[in-house]
Amino acid sequence: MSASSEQAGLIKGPREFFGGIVLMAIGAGALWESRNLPGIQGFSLGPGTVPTIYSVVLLLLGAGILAIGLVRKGSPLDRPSLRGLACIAASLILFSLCIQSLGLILTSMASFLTAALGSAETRWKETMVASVLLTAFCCLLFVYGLGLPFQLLPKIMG
Amino acid sequence: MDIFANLAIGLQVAVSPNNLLLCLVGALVGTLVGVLPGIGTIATVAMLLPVTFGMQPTGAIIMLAGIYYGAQYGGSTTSILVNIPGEATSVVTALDGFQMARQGGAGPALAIAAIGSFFAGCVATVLIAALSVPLMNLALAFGPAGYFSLMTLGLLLAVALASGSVLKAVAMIVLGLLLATIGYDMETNVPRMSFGIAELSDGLSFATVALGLFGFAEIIRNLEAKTSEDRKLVQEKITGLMPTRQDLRASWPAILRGTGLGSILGILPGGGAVISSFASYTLEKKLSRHPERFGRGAIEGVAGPESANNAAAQTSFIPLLTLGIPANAVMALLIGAMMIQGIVPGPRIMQTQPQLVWGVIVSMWLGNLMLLIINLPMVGIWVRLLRVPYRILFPAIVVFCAIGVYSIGNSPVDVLIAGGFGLFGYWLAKNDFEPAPLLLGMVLGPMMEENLRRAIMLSRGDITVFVTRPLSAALLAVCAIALVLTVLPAIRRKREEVFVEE
Repeated sequence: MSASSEQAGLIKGPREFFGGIVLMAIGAGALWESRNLPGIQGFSLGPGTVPTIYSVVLLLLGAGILAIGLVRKGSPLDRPSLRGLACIAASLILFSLCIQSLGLILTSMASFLTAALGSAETRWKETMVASVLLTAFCCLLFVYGLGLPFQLLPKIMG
Repeated sequence: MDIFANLAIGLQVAVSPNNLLLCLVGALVGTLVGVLPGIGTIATVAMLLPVTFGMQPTGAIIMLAGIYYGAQYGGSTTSILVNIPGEATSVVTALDGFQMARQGGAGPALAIAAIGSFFAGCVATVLIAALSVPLMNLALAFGPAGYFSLMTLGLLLAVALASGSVLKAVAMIVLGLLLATIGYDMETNVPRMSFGIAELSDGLSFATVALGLFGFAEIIRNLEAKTSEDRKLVQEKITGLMPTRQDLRASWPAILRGTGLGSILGILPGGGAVISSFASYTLEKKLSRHPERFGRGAIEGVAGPESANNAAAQTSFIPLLTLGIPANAVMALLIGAMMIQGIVPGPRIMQTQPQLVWGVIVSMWLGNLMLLIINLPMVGIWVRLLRVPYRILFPAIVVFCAIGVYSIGNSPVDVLIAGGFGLFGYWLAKNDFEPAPLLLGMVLGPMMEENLRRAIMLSRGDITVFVTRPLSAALLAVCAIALVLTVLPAIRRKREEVFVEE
């Protein structure tokens, strides 16, 4: 996805071109996954028929979009902003790793602070306060309001 | 059963203390979401989806519906006062509403927006009540083949009327349909399409995907947008809420036209609130004897679009409640909510769940009444909320969504899956793909496959059943026409015009 490939002139709409490739890859993957599923038997469609059809259609549509990327001039690729993306991802990974051992209170505060790293505008004092408030709100809503069986404190303590 | 008996059933359901409270919560959350820029309606409904799983189905739908139409009210407030549309549906309201506010007319602008919305909401509610039964009777005539074709048409029209590339949107639908096949096959119970991942063997939870695509992806996108914190308010005090007689005289025709336009566009798949507010603005400008006033504080430019978006937000419930077909992404989420509650959407829903359908319809009218009160006298409170900066909001949304996803099945992996869809959604947005059609495809996927297979079974393996049955053939013909029309250059230009109109 370097700038040179855009300037080469072959790829006129890089968003379409690469979008088409990704869709084709998904279609191909799905087609491969559906290969062993039983297909049409007698009068009825098997469990594999419909996924196979969709996979093929997605492959074709992906190819079509790719072709448009070769023919019609489109917008250039946009550089992703990695900071926000990485911090949100880290926050969610942290959440899924900790929720069952550390409990809701610690996990939600830790995830909150991790996500907050994603913005340059974050001010830490107010963020700390907000994380406590949100955690309290979520405990009240999910555990007491909706009666969900969450563990609030770390396992050793609870 | 006549319409009044139905409405009586609905009233009984809607005024139960529990449902009234949920309606109020929905309206409040909706207004809040509408006021706060950076948090969309789709994301909010997705966020609250897991919260509703433990509720009564009727209450859950009443609340989620309230968020949707409530956001139409709230969105106009920020458009008018700060020139920041809280929702895509009130982008055009900002054009003239903000100008009015600068000239000291914030009060009348807000009042006209709320009155127009309320009027449109009332008309739309009556329309839903009146149209539901005949449409349901029509829908009951559909066999599996016809219903399959109807869903195909719904999906295609949703794409044809929306903005952006048709090919890309169709690809998104197919991807959604494909995602829906993950998990056990309904008929044979064969596990499929899970790529050997244990967590996928039960299928992807609809709420997980929606939260990822709309919740997390939206946040990542907002974070890169570098929102500067210059949300200056036009004025501290809003004086004189009441519009003058002259204001009213100028707005009435616009409100009526907006309501009519919005009601029609709302029923159509892919229509809904955004396109109708744009269309109404264009219409008012074309009809006006002084089109040059538009953009400089013409009250019709507030009255028309605000009535239209609210009417459309409500009439888009018609296909959902009568045919089980979502007209837009929010409706898809509501179908998802119903299915998780064990309610099968579709033409029979009115017979099997009259309490739910009529309860929701009546609650909409009550909700509109609440919104009028919430928004007009209390407008100052909402404006103050605008000062809550996004830097505090976004981590809160991330954690709230994570807890919501986790609460669906107590599975930490679901949080990762939602995160994965968040990244995917961000990538989609970066490459001009819209995630909404994916959601529509995913929610209709199981029903389409079921009807397809049943139709072929009933016809003893004859695929031509879809074109030999008159109803199904007619619907498929409309599909074909719609597809051809969208690729015709003349129509394509018109479509773009509607969305680019300033």
